[in-house]
Amino acid sequence: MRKAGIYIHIPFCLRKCPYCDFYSIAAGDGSLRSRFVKALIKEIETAGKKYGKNSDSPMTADTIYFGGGTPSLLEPEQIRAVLGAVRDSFALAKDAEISLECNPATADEEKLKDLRRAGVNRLSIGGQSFDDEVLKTLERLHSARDNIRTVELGRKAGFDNISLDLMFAIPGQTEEKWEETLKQALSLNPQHISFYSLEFMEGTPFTRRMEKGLITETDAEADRRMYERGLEILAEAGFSQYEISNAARGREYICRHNMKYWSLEEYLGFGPSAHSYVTGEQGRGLRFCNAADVAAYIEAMERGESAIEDFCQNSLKDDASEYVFTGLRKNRGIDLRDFRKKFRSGIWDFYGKDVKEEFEEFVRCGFADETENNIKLTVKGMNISNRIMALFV
Amino acid sequence: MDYQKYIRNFSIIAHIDHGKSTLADRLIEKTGLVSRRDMKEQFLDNMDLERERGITIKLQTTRLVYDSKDGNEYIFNLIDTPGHVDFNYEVSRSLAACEGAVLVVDATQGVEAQTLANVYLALDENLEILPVLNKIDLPSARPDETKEEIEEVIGLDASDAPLVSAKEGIGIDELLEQIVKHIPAPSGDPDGKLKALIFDSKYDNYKGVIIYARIFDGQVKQGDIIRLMNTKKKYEVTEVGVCAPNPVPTGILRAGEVGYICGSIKQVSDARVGDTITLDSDPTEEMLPGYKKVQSMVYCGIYPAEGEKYENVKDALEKLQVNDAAFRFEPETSTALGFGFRCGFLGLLHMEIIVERLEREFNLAVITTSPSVIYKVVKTDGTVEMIQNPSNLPAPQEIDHIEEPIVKADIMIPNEYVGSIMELCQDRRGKLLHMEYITPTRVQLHYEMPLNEVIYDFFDALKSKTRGYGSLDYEFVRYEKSNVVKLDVLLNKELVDAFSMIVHESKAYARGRFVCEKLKEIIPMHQFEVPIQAAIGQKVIARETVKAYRKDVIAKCYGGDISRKKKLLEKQKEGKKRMRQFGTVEVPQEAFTAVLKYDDNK
Repeated sequence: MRKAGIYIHIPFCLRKCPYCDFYSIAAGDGSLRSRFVKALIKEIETAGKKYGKNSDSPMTADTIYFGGGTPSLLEPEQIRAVLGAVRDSFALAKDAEISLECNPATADEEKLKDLRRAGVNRLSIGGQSFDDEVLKTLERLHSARDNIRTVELGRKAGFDNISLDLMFAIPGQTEEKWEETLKQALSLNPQHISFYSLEFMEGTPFTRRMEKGLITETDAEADRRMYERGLEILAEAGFSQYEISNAARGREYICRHNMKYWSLEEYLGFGPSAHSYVTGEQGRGLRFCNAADVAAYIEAMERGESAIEDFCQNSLKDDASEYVFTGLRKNRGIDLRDFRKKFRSGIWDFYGKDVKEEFEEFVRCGFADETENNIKLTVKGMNISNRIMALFV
Repeated sequence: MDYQKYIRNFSIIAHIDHGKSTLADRLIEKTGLVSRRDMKEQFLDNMDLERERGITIKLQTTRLVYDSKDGNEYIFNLIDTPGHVDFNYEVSRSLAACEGAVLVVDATQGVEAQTLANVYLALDENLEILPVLNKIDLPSARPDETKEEIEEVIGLDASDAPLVSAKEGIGIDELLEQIVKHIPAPSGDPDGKLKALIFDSKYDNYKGVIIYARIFDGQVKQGDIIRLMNTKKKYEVTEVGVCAPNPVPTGILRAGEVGYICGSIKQVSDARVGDTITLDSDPTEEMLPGYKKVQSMVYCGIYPAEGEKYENVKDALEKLQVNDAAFRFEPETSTALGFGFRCGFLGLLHMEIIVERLEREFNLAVITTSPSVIYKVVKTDGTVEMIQNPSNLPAPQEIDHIEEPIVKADIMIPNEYVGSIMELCQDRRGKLLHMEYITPTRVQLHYEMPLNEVIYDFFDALKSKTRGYGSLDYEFVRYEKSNVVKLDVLLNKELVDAFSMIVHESKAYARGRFVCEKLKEIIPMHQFEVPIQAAIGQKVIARETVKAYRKDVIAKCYGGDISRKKKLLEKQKEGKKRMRQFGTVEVPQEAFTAVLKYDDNK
């Protein structure tokens, strides 16, 4: 059976966070959002003809992920309508994981209940920190108190799979504050935690402020201490890390949707700036993405046109490099038998002696592990993963 | 003879940035040679590189036609001069082709080092000097003080010096008139035996070498057989003409005139600057004075950078050599860098210029190794080897002693800097021969100094310690026994021969420390610690460590935008490709140039 994930990008935010480089615009008035939802439904229906129930090779959606932007800005009925469109066009796996990113500033009891009733079964709460000062630095529109309330309301609404997003290495955040945040998050008993080091992305206000010397990037040493300390705390609390920035309380809570990104599995992205990866002719991947422009997106959909802006037919080499570099993000690494099956060659035959030697140098230095059927990074290796991944691109 | 009355041959001399090139442009524009629209800024500096650095390296001569207020039409031959000690010889030959010099002094800055250095060069050639005050339009201009300075320091009457602004075109007419009045007309004998001075030459793809010459006596015509007296080569003249500034054939050049001569000459080194041209059939007996054969003083290795083809570098070097008599090269190999070339230069600036031209004009990526002079190595078996590549130094047990080249350095400075410059010279192992007061405020120091102390950054240090007023000239005198040692650099315990250099024992520690510190800044972090060591033989004299890297990770990889992350990794891989791999250590190309410059204050 052909399985696929579905990503739905909701490009609205109450206010843009100064570190974020995902595509979003101001929430605007309700009419734009309802036009947007209609456009989204249209895109899903169109894609359904190609990949859905009645296509030649129908995909079964086994994960749906509402990301953004701020998906929780939409009305639950709108989410329900979009999910309905997915169900109409695609077969939906019985145990499908349906995630929605929720900003604590936008959640109330009623809304969360309605979302749960609409079919959302996994809530990813963008708490980021449990320190109000840090939240202020990040210009978040919610407090630590709101975070706690949102988790509690979520549980009350019937969500038994709740994830918390946390950030560290934020200007002004001490190592103690980070530990404190993590412990508070754990005390709320989430099923999943994402924890990522603040990245200064090109074109964001944070990066401009850093270049002007208004804020300082946390030094690499402190950043990694926070990361490593975080992993210890998570492990003590019974969490298993399964990806560079993700840990779950047991295998069943691993985010299956995100895992697809790191496993060269198929996913369809809907909404402006959404990315898709599908397996095309001869099993080679096809990547495409929509333009990052809400207005243009809505107009294209209303005219019955495509909003695809970039289109890339992967070569065997592209697929292999994406498979390896994303695969190495996962703690379990890469199954070399799987590599052989996918690319009809052993990994070292594929990349050659020089790459093997360089990789094994990393293994010798304790950055990676290699067994007959597996390669993976150690925590030490994750800290410098780009260096190792670059061998394979 | 009458026609010579209407010729004026002159150079413009100035301290750097005093506006020489802008003034030349203005003269060209005023005399109607080139329309304003067609003018690139600074017409005479014809290489981009020169325009960028603001210095003239290669000369270009221009003939201007000027209608004077006295009702006559004059021919002005404007001969531009380069502006650096590396090219002092070329400057002196250009000046020798003139009767006069327009001395440009920035009215906001006053007299400076090169002003004087150039004045002395001009006086050596018995030129009439016409002072001009430039930048008169600036509010900070102080013409009266500047005039006083010219009179006091140089001893020239500046009371009538034209006040100009080359930038704004002020005072140019006045200057043109003064050139007519004050600069003497040539007075050669057109019927005498041909005697012409080569003051420049360049290579042209169609015509072969173009000689730029000043005719002192006699005349030269198309079809004549000329003889170059120093190189003793003979050529048939295929074309003669004037520079307007592009060549305009005239069929003949007569005494007093300046122009170009072509004769199917294949290499500029066959038509050397300073050589005397005469007629083969009716030669003059005496050569013009001042000829010197230029010698390479500084050597370095030039290697193709990663991904660059050896052949491309070789072709480019050959092309440069055709055009530059002072530049030479031969193949060599390095364990670290592979196949490349050992190249000889006049000085460090000359070297930098050649390297930049390789990079810009030929679009090549090259690596240069530490510059070196030629050492005379006397071996225990009595044989002598001349070594200009530190890697070729014989094993210590085979060496009886090493001799290094010593130069006589003449340094001219305002008297208030005597103390600090003597200190500098002493630090560079200089021996004071004597010191003389040229004027009550100007001092000339005569030193003997090892050339290897001069080539690194002596000139820069001199300039900075004298606020730009110091000037330097040097010439080789002899080889002298010296306690020099080979300083090696080890990266992660492995010797990288391209970094090896020969230094005096007393300097080895400081230099070793400097190189290690510099490399520490430049070598990127690796997954392991990289020790950087400087060593003499087995003995490590300096050490630094590049720490292992700690963090290089994409924290967030969601939303399915894999392409962007992949691009990031590809970029990283590309960056790695630009590095040079030595054993397990990756070294960026710029490391090689960064360790060249020795900064005393570090």
